[in-house]
Amino acid sequence: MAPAHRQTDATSAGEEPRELPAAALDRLLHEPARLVIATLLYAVESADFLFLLRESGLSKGNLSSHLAKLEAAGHVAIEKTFRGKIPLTICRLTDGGREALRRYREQLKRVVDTLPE
Amino acid sequence: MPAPGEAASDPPLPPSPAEVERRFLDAERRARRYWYEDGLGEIAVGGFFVILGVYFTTQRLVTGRLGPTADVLLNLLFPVIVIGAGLGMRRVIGKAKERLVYPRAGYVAYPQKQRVPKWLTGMIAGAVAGLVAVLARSAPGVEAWLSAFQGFMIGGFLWWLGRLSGLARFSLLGLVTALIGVLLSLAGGSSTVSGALFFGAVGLALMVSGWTAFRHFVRANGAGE
Repeated sequence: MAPAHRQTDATSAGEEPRELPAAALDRLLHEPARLVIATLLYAVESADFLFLLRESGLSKGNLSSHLAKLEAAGHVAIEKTFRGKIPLTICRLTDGGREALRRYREQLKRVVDTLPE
Repeated sequence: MPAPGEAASDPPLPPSPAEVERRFLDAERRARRYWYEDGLGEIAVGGFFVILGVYFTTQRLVTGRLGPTADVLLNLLFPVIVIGAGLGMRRVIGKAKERLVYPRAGYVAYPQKQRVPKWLTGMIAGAVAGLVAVLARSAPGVEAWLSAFQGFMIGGFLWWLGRLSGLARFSLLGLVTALIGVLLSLAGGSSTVSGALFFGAVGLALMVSGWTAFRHFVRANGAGE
């Protein structure tokens, strides 16, 4: 998902506007709870709602809402199924989601590199 | 994880890059640890080792006493046990997890690419077994140290598993396994008796550790959804 707005840094008139590394961060993934969910899913092929609930420490409502946002952005695929009579919500990071997370990690490293000592 | 009845909330975290990196590594470790956390794997592997111990004991007691047919059948039983365990263990653990673990703490599927190819595992196991057999034949003194060798191999693997998963009990099991191997080698005795005692003792240690972990897991995660 593209950031809502991007800051630029033009030092003088006529220069190409330069994007600040911090402004390029994926704001959807930068949100702490969503970052926790995405990193948990990054380490596995797929996981169900209960696992994410247990490992993230979020409430059911919070987790549902953040998963819905990640799904809307195409980062997470959610499949509702049944095991016997028990409903099961399987979540997995899409290829796009994996790539977005990898990019976010790199962007964050670049932000640190640009910080003054 | 919040205790039952306790309100859950967003974890407080301004994600600094170091924090994000730490969280990535932590998430990977937690996902790996989840497979071993419940102790079912230890119970299954421990059970397999106990069966091996019983097999070696039977071999020691029966060989040469019930006739050549019994000896041949007993020798044929060994690959059946090993191959059967190799093929069936992961399936049995998976089924047990489906019934006992996933309803309590959630389902996780692991990426297939993380697993070592079966042909490579087979080749390494074959090479190690061949090396041990050649060494035992060429230098009779080496046979006395077979238990210590097994102890260091299996103990080393358990120690590595402890480091990988962050579960200290595996590191402890690794040390115990190596110690059992060394003590059996120092005690002397035939390789069959040492093998029986080694696999029996390590198998029991794994089963006790697994059962303790499983009881703790069930207590911590309740009756399930």
